[in-house]
Amino acid sequence: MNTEKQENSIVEISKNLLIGLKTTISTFFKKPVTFQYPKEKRQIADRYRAFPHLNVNGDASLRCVACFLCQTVCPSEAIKIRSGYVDYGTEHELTERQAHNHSLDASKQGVLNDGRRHPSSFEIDLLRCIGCGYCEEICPEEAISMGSDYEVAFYTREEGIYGIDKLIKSK
Amino acid sequence: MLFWLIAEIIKILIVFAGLLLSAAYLTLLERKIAARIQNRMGPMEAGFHGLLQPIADGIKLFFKEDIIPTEANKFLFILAPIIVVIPALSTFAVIPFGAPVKILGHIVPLQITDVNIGVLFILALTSLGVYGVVIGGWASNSKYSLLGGIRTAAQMVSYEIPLVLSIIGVIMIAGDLSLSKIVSEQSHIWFVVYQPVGFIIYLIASTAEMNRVPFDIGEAEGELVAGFHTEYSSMEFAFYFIGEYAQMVVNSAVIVTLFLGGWQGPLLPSFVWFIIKVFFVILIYLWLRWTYPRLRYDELMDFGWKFLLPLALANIIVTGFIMIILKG
Repeated sequence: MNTEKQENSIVEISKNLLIGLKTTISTFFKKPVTFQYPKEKRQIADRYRAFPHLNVNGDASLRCVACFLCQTVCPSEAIKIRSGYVDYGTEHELTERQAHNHSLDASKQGVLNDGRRHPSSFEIDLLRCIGCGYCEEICPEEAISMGSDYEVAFYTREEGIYGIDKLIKSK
Repeated sequence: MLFWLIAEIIKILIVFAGLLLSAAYLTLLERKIAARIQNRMGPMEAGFHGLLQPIADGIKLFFKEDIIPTEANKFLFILAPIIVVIPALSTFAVIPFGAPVKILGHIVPLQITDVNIGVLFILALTSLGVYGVVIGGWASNSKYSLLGGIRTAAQMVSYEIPLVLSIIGVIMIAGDLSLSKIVSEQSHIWFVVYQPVGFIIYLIASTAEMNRVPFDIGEAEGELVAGFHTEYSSMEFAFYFIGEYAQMVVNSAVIVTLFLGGWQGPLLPSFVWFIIKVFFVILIYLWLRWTYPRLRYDELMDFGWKFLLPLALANIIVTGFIMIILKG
């Protein structure tokens, strides 16, 4: 290999200088790759996943049955669940299947429910969440799934802990 | 008599306002062009596509706290930015920016004053700019400022020589130092055709004169923070900025006058041609800035003394020989 330093001639140098000018003028006429971020949102892919959120049924009841699988599988221990029951009250119209399910009647007297366990509180610490998607993968009820809302910011650490209401609302 | 006085004052006001405005808007142009060359968008928030950005910048700088280092020489510290701005603005006095117009039966030349040593006047005033830089660098009493000032002084003095020598070819062909004469000499063919080498040398040397990239070792931000204006803030800093950009407009105007036929052009009014040509030359300066990296100090000195200076001298000799041959 020739390792000798090349003595550049004036012709060679000027040629390279002109190549530089040509490069910059060609990029000048190209469309900018940046965009006005807060005004213009990035077009995200359909499969894009950001943070988990909770899914609900058509009648706005929680799908989650507090099986603790997601809390167990979560590698960063971001999910904290406390199990409980949801009292639907007499106002709420239960579906036929729900009304005939009396499996929980023995443990909870006088409470109108759909016969399933539900979380009394369900918290995901979004500051701990790494967005791995294990919770979505393991959930047997399709109650938790990954959303596309990537603009998550808080003023305090406490705000980063999302409860049931916030998790349902977030996309 | 009164008519002339009023006409002169109006001309001075137009040139002064035009220069300051163009210096302000050059900052926006520079940022926009830099952005486009780097595939970005540049300022977009203030006004339509950032059109009010220079005004916002100006207001911000105006209301900034004026910090003067305690160890600095206060008088010289404040004087230095002024020394940079005044010559830059007053150089424009001798540049013809349009064909003479007839107002109320008087023929008014569109030029503040037509001195018969116009070229000399320009060269004298542009070299004064180095004092502002050197004084500012010394008065700040900071090592970065001082080093920046020294480097800039060395650079400006070295590039002054090829700058002056590159013009001599034009003066030889035109046979006059008056800028209006030089412009009228170019009514048939621009001097850039006769003096392509002189044109390129002037373009390069004037870039170095203005301390612009690739010749900005005086304020090399990677090494010297901001060079000679490290300690400056508020309006004093703005003055350095105005001076720098006004100098760019003036240098472009000089190039247009000496090499590109001045205000001469078909169809459009003469001052429009002048503005178009100046804009074009400014674009070349911006293009150069955002293409090339900064030269090292020794490369800069080598380039100035070992390449540009002999080339400028050779250009004069060749021009002289050709003129003698064509005449004889």
